[in-house]
Amino acid sequence: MKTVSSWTATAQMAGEAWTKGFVPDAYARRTLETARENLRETAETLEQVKQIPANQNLQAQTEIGNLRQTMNQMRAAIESGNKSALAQSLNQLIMQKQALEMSVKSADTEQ
Amino acid sequence: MMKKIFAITLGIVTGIGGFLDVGAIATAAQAGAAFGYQLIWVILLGTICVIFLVEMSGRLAAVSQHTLADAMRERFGINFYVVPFVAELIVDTLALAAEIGGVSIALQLLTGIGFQWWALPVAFALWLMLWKGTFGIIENATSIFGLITLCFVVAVFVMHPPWQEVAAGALPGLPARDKAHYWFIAVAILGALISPYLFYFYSSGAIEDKWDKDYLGVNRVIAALGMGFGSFVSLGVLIAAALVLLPRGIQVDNYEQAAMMLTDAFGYWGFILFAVSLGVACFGAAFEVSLSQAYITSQVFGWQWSENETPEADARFSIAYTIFIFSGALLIVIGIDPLNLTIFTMALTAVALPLIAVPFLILMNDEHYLGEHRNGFVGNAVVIFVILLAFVLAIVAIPLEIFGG
Repeated sequence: MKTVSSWTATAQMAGEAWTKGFVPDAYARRTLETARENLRETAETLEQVKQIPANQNLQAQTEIGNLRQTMNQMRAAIESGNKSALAQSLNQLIMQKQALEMSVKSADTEQ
Repeated sequence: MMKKIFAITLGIVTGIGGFLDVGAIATAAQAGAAFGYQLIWVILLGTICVIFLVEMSGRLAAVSQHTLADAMRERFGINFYVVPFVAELIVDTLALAAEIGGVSIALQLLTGIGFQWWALPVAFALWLMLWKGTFGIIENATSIFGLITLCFVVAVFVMHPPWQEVAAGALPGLPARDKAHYWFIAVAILGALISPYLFYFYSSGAIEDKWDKDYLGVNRVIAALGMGFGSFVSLGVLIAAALVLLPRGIQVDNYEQAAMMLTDAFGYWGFILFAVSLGVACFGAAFEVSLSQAYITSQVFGWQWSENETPEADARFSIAYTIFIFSGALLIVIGIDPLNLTIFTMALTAVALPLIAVPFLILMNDEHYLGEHRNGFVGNAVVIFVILLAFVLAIVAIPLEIFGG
């Protein structure tokens, strides 16, 4: 989950930097695409880990799927140059990131 | 006198501008992002060791008029020397691929076009410079352009780090978590700083520049100040990563994650400066690695060698760097991830270090080559300690990193 958290933070930073005009469009788009790809790989790896209870695994898969979807929306917002759409997606990403961190914490407590 | 002052100035500029390469940037960024200032001591330790080793390779050339490869082959015979020679070629080919990958990533950051597409054009540009240029022109140009990497140091001062915590990082310590990863990065930092190609390149350069015993003082100053100042740039990368990436929870698994480390300090120009610094530093290092490989190969086989000669005059030397450059580029073209390649090459370098450093030390204590200028106790002790430390850590940390996921 550290990888998911790291790539989500990267996507957030790239989105914020793009909003401020600190990074080019191409870089922001590519970074979001790379983040999505890494999340997909992590989800696939998680799916194969038998030690994680099925309900927790399913929850993690759902949360990662949501993060990927938001990153896709961010990418689309950057492509169309829509800063307000990106700001909305960024807020959503931050909330999803917090939800993921909470799930990881509660899973750790259960174990 | 003026010639020596010029040589010292140029040497220091070369040290600062030429110090940073893909390995130093990648390992320092990973270290700062994952462990804050806790790995500063490794950069300091590696720098002390590299100062001693660079000084030794320059002293060997100035006193004995032998390059390192030349003297090793003569002293130990080709049957023995073939082992460090092959080890060096393997590590250098991977390092060259990583440097070409670094330039390609820089171009990807600036243009948005995938790094694999840039590998062959970068290799061609590098080859063309070596084919057409002379040693002095290429070395000085890449080093002067390399001064742009000082932007990492400037960024640190702009961002006001907690200096007490930074200073505390100069003392070795253990992290509370991820110990295996901590030691693996420590090994990679040592491998990146103590790159053997540097010693072969430096001793060959000293012969190209016609150094003699009068240059021993110049050599000492260049080694100490050039490498010393150069390591400030590595520290700048580590501290910038610790200030920007660590608090956000960003680990550097990809160069794209490191690319924003200067935007807090310089805004848009921070992004451009990162990409240009990465590109320039890696291009300069690619030039040094490819020349170093051609020097070693030519010196081992007894071919004519000099970057100051035309390709017609030393055809086999020119063919050697041509083959090495395009072999390295192919590794990137087939899509090997440049960051992973860099980190594992640096760790592998640490494993291979004793193979190269131990015969080097024996040579540096040989009266036949060095006479009264052979090594003292301190130089031997520092180098043996750091090389053994890097080797032992590599043997332990690499399997832990691989099998620990």
